[in-house]
Amino acid sequence: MRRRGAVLCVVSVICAALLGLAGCGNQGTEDLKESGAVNGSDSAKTRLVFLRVGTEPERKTYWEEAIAAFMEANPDIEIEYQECGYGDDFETKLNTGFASGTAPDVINFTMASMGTRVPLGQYTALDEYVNNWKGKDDFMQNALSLGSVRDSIYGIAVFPDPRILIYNKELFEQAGLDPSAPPKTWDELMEYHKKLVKKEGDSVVQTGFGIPTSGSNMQHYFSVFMEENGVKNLVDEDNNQVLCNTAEAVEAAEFMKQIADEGIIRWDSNNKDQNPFSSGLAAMTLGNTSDFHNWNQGAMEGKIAMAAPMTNKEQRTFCGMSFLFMSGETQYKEEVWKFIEFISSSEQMWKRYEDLGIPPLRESLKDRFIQISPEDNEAIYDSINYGTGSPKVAYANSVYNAVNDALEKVMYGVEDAKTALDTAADVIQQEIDNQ
Amino acid sequence: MNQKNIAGKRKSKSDKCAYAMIFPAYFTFTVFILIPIFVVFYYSITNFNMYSKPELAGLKNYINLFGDGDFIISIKNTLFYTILTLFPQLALGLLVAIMLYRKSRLLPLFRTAFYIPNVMSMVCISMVWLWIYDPTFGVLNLILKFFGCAAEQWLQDTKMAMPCIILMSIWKSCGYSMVIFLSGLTSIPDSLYEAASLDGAGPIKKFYYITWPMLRPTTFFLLVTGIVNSFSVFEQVNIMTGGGPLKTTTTIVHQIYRRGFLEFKMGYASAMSVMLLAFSILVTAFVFKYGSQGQDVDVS
Repeated sequence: MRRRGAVLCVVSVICAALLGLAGCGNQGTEDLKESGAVNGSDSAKTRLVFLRVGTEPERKTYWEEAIAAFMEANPDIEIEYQECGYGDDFETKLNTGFASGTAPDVINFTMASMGTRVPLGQYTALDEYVNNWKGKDDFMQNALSLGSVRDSIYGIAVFPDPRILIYNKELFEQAGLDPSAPPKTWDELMEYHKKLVKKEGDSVVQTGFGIPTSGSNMQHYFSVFMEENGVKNLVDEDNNQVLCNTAEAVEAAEFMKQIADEGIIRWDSNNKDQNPFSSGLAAMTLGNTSDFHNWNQGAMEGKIAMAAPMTNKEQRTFCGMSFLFMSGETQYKEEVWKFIEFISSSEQMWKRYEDLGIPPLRESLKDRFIQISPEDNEAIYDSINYGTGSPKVAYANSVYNAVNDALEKVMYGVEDAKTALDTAADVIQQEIDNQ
Repeated sequence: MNQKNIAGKRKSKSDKCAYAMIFPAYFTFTVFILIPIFVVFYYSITNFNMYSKPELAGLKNYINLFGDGDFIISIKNTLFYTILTLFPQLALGLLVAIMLYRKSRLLPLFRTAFYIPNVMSMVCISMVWLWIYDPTFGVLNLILKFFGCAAEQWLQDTKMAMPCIILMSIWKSCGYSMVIFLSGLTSIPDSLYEAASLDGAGPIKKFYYITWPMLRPTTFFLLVTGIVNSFSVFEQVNIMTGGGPLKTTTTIVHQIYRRGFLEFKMGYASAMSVMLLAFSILVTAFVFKYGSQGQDVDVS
């Protein structure tokens, strides 16, 4: 009796372990999908998993509505919506998904991700679909080419993300500045910043320009100033040439340091909530159209405005972009493309503009978009049209880490801009050499 | 002879049963700890990037480690964190345990209150403390302002960031030390204190000559587990500071995570893990050798 119990116990443990280990196998997704198709209420339905970057509630609402509309138009396809926060969390989730064979079928992620994930085969080339796509000629050419790696299209742009100067009109008025005349040049920005800084003793209680001093997203702020100073990217991805330590880039970092020296409220760019602009303690900052949408609510509603990109040598701004990617592991390529095509339609694009303020990426919508706010929207459209975005290189994460380390050193006064960026360039060059 | 056979059969039966009983634990240990350790050893000598087939790289990863400034900083930070978290946490845990080792109706309430932080998720606690340390609206700065002091930058200050994390970790863990010390206190016979009282010993002498020596095994246990836990500090660092500012809070496990999961250098991250394991074993062995004297105090 006792022996039987012991044997039963051992067998149960082995079965449990085998079941557990089976869950770690590569075939997990397929098995789940097949069983879902057979046992589910709708056996003919194809089930896709869609993972998008970010957790903003208004974007979630948009995606849920878009997915519902798509499923209504395509009753044979069911889409499971998933989301995950920006940055390290999303990278980890995606890495785990691909490593365990449970990667989503459709992925909404950043341009920079192409650099690392295309060589690993995690994104599928979309050329055969795009070449037969009616919307191709109407799609903004730059947006289409930004989704390409080595002449193959891997991503279809969905959320252009130009970094815009956002300012608080009320704080401008309090400082005696004209709220309808935001700064257009670096000199003006510095002048405004000085006028807007308020101190109590040594503590800064209100800053002019809200800029982070640490964290893993500082490179976006740096990229804005760098592009306004005529540098097109942190790295020239075509020639694998490091650009983050050129004279113009160093000048951009020095300008950021000058702003900090005049008085800023320090915050960590990993925690967007800490941005003093969101709490009315900074009069200006850089953000995207979604940030503007979020901040323009509650106590700040109607008090903030967007400004056209500034200039030092060129009127430019950093324009990131998020894309829809087809997973390299998906079995349902046709269905995934159907979804991407649906999301890239003129109707959905205009809905994104109306719901979220996201600029449309179709030539046929350009005039309609610009007419709504000619000065701002033309500048935004141009920023997207000429933007280069993040470097699409396999070592992109190492570039960001090196540049962010350098910027932290500059902002904390540990090293001067040239020394810090030269060190970053050396680190990046080592990564290039190791490729 | 017959009796011997019966005893042998019984022993054999009980052996099999014992093996069956320990099998789940050993099986779990083998599958989820022992095998992964060997796999990590293997990966540490390859250029594994999670997705493509690993190729042998010899000792390149280990050699690169010694030239990696970030890794060296992370070792220093981890040691700093371990020393400044562990000893105050043990001291506080002991103090609270002694204060709560008496009879009162309110004691369960206090004991529960001290222990609650330990059962809460580190992620939730980190988020709460992130708000406490918020330079603009954080409770800590509001208190400072109330007393007319200047607000501090806490997690944005290179000198304050690590102490802030340490403070939070002590607060979270001292409840655990308290519970273990309380269990240690209950095992000390009252007769020893009675005898000491008769000899005219005061509370300090009783603590120094009875409580402290009798709690050595408990302290040793907490020390060893505390070292291992402190070496693997990660969640609070990743959530509260991301290793910054200026890498003043990055730790070994944080570096392993960044290299492995964000830069896809899983081979290199594995080499870091092996170093961490070796380091943990070394320090634990050192503590076992020099910190475990007087464990067997005979009170019979």
